[in-house]
Amino acid sequence: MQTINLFWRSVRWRFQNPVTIIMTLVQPLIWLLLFSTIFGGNKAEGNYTSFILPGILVMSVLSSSGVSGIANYSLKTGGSYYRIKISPVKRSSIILAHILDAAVLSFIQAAILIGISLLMSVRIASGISGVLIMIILLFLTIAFVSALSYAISLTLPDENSFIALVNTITLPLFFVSSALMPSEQIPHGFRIPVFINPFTHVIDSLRMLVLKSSIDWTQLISTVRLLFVLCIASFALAVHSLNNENQ
Amino acid sequence: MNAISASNLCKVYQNGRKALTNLSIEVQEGEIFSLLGPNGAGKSTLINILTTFLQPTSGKILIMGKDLYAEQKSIRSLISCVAQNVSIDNHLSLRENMLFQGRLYKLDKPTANKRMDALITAFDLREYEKNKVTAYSGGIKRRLDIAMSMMSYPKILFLDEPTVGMDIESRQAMWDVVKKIKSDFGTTILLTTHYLEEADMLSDTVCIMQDGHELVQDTPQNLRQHTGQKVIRIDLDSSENCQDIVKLISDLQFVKGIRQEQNTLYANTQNPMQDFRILNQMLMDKQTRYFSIGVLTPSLDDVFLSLTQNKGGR
Repeated sequence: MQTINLFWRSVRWRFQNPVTIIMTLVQPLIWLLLFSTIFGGNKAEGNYTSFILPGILVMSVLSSSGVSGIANYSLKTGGSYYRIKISPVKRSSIILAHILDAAVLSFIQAAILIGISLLMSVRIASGISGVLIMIILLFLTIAFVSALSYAISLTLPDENSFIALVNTITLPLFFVSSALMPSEQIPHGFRIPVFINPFTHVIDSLRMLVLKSSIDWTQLISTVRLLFVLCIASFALAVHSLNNENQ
Repeated sequence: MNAISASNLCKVYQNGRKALTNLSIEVQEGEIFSLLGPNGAGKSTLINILTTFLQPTSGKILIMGKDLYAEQKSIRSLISCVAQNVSIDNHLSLRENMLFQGRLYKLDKPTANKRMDALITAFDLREYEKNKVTAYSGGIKRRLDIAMSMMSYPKILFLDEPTVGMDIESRQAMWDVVKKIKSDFGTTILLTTHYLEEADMLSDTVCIMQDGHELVQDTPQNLRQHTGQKVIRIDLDSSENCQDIVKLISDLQFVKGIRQEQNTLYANTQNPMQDFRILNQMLMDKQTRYFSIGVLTPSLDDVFLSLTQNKGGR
């Protein structure tokens, strides 16, 4: 109930400040349109937008959930952060509410990106069940990234260092992954970092759901398992940071 | 039972700054307790520790008889705090702000609504209900902030400088609110202030703090008596070099402290009625240019300064 209460408060703020939804949407949207137009012609088989969409979705999660922690800095300048912290609310509820808030933002963006892709004749080959699994994969990715972002925001002193760090991490994560080309075609020297990057596996699973009508469960389960472990780790880290913030 | 009992509290920040050193206070249930001290005395650090926001480096704290470390969660439901920064959410309405706070403390809907209405009436907020929160004046925002903090009917309410930066009228309205919380809700109130007048008028007990340590804790009446010794006031001619005279006087054995306001000196001495003659004689002998000397009953400012200043400080 407390999570819902905190979540309700964030959602009220989000919809009174819709510009925050648009701001983080612009970049992935431009990339989606840019890549589809530039590389679309070179691809002999299939629709390049279908190929690029999973990577763009992950990029949009990285940019929106990745910076989600920044809200803490403005909350701290007022007294509401303090008021909530000294209330008997469970620390895990605070983190969970933060994840749900990030999820609202990220899913609105994902819906817009997918909607535009549908207009560009992208079809989700795995059907409704595939879409549901995509939602689960995206939610786990959002939870992992936003909890991590929350933890980072409690560690770094101000917005500038926070933004600098997040930008330094997210762009390489996008490029050193299978977002722009299939894992098999990645040059040998790059394979190891690309393989280590957890988002590669998320993108590969999402791509499989978009492009293929039959689901490769082995690949899917291993991705979900990976995300699950990452989520638990980042959630624990965020709760720990919140508990130990004011030593 | 004591509402708050803290003993030998120390706080050293990670950057090495000492905020509290061996501080001990006792707050009785149902009283208004004021922490008085100059900026940097450690008042806000103490509030942050007592409200579970900050962890002390060492020391023991009991809140309503419960150990602050062992029973943090149950203590959190007994207290609330109005911080220096206004904490209301501008994107929520007055009622939404209050209901949000109620849900933080797990109040059910009927209880929350009942309390909200009682608090809106008690704090004269009815006429602002329809307005946007962003349009409220500073004083009203603060009043709403306090009303929100009262939603959980806390046993102890902390107020961190509740009237700082307010005009006289808003301050008086705030004092009425504080008194009302005590009389109508029986809440123990711990407030910080650097207005002596405020501490004197509102409090049952005043604790004067300096450099992270309590100097004295007593009722305002006793405090005035306790330190209520008279002071010697000397008005010097503007052509006189005040610094030299200050040095001269503060070097005297019986002078415990001296304070200078432009050309007027206030000296704390052991026996002002006697010492004033000696001082007078000395100033005459030295052919000091002064036009009045006398013995005064100290104002609360003098009490405060006599406690917080070292000999010769000004």
